[in-house]
Amino acid sequence: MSAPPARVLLGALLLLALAGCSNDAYLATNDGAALDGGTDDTGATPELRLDVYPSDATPGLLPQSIRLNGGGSWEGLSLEVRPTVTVSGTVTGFQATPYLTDPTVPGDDDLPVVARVDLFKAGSIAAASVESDQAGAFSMQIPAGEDYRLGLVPEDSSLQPFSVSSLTLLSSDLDLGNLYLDYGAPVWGKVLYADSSPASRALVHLVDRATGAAGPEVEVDTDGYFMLRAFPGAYDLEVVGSALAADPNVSVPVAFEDDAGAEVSVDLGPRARSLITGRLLDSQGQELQGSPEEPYRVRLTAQSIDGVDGTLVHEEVTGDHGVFTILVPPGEYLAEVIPPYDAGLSPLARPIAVGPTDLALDDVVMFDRVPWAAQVLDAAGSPAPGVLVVAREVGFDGYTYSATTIADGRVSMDLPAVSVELTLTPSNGGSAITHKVLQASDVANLSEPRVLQLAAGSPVNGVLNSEGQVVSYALVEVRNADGELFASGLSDADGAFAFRVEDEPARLK
Amino acid sequence: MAGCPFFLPFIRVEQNVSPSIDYSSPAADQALVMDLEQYTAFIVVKDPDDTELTYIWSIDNFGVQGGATPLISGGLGSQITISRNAGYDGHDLSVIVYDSAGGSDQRSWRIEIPESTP
Repeated sequence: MSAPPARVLLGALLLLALAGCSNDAYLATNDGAALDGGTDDTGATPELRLDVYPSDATPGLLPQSIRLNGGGSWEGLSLEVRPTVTVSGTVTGFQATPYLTDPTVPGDDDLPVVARVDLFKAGSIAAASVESDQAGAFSMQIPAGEDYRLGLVPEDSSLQPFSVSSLTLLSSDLDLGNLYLDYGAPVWGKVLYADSSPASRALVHLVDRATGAAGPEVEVDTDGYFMLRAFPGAYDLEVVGSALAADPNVSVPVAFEDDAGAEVSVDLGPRARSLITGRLLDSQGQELQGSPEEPYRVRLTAQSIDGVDGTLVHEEVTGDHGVFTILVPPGEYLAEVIPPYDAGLSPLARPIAVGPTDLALDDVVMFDRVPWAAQVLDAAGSPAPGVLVVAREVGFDGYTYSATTIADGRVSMDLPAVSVELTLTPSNGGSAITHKVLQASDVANLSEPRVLQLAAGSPVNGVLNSEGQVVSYALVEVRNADGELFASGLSDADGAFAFRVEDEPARLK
Repeated sequence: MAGCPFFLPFIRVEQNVSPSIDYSSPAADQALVMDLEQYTAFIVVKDPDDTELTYIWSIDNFGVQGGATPLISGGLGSQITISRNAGYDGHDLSVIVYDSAGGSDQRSWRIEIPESTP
């Protein structure tokens, strides 16, 4: 069969689908980058992003992001929450071997394809994902907007390629019609250990470098062999090693320009594994066994793995008598011990070096959280009552702890003896929602009273509307362009929101 | 009857008004469909006589979830962002809000993780 270039065909079909639509949506293929820019919501470099999560006070609206211009006032904003639209279509593709038992039957180029259909956009929480049915049909709901990406990820990755296209404007319901995936090009190879034995049970998938979209994941066969299909372009082949074998994850760049595809060999490094054993105790010497619902977990995160450039995060729970065992390849690791939230204990972290032989650790003793107190002052230097103080662990599982300041601005609570990020949310508009960082040594140091002053910050306020109706009781998160959280709160019954945000929140990198 | 009748002084009893979950995402009668890597759920709470509320988020068989954050800007409430875990499929995410007098309200959502999710 002499097929036209696959992406062009898909794009042409998308555009053809549009020709019959009564709305004003426009599409471009993702290799036509020139068609694909200049549709910012604001027309300027955004400096703030409001993530809006509507509640059932406004049924039918979906989570979405609104970008705000930098360099101007963020007061008195009237922001439009986009209505929900329905995107539908049918995924079809070429199947080379419709009847495997009869090799004389030619391939069929218009068969329905079961595929995952993703709609997403960079720098936004607006996204949706559905699976097409046996007839290839799908229907999904998404907020109206610009600059969406449409990902088509076939269930059987060995038959059709995965595809990413652009949907530059989506303002009303849209039937995309027939989305033809064609045949693409093969990406094949083996995943092996350094001794050339196959790394069975490894999972492989491609990630499109331009968009970050991930293709279907397949398991290698018993020989370590895999085959995927994709359109010519630049990708990363992501290999997820078997958790059972404590295999690392490895990423290999892949680029090809024609339908010949590419062969890729992946080396997962040495096959040797070392067993780490230890026991968890509390400060009274009691063994910390946990329960299936609330286990004590030991997590090892590789800082480097001997003989391979890969990553590995491996986690186990304690068993009888607080004993844990973890199998990992030799290398340098950060070991984190995470108690259940209700245990009242501090998590622990420490580096460990794992050599070629098994490693028996000394007993690991976990200590209670420690009492912590501070006084919070407002931006003018006066004690600030009613300030919500939220402390979030840095690392581990990001547990949070909270308390509210009393009349003299004082607050106290038990905190884990680890580094935490504090978010101070004042109860009135005179000060900004303020972020502070407490190092582990600061948390445990009770010798001097701590004073935390709220920043003055800048106001961000306005009203959320959607097609003439206020959007009340929606969760609003204020973030910078990189997605870092500045503030969060609710719109009120009138759809109004008001924050003061810091110019540069303190963060632990 | 001899003697004078005697009454203890009346003691004014303040009736606690329990917190109520007015709004939420997901909606009260909907499932939490985790078709994406992370999901943010939240509740909006009304309590006319208390702002010192405690929120406990949990997933059955997975225990208390430690990453919740109370909200006070614009109204009372709590939010949590949970990362997709295939084991959550079919289990319930629940939140209970307590006031300082022990009054409470709760809401639950069945977690659904579509097979095709990335």
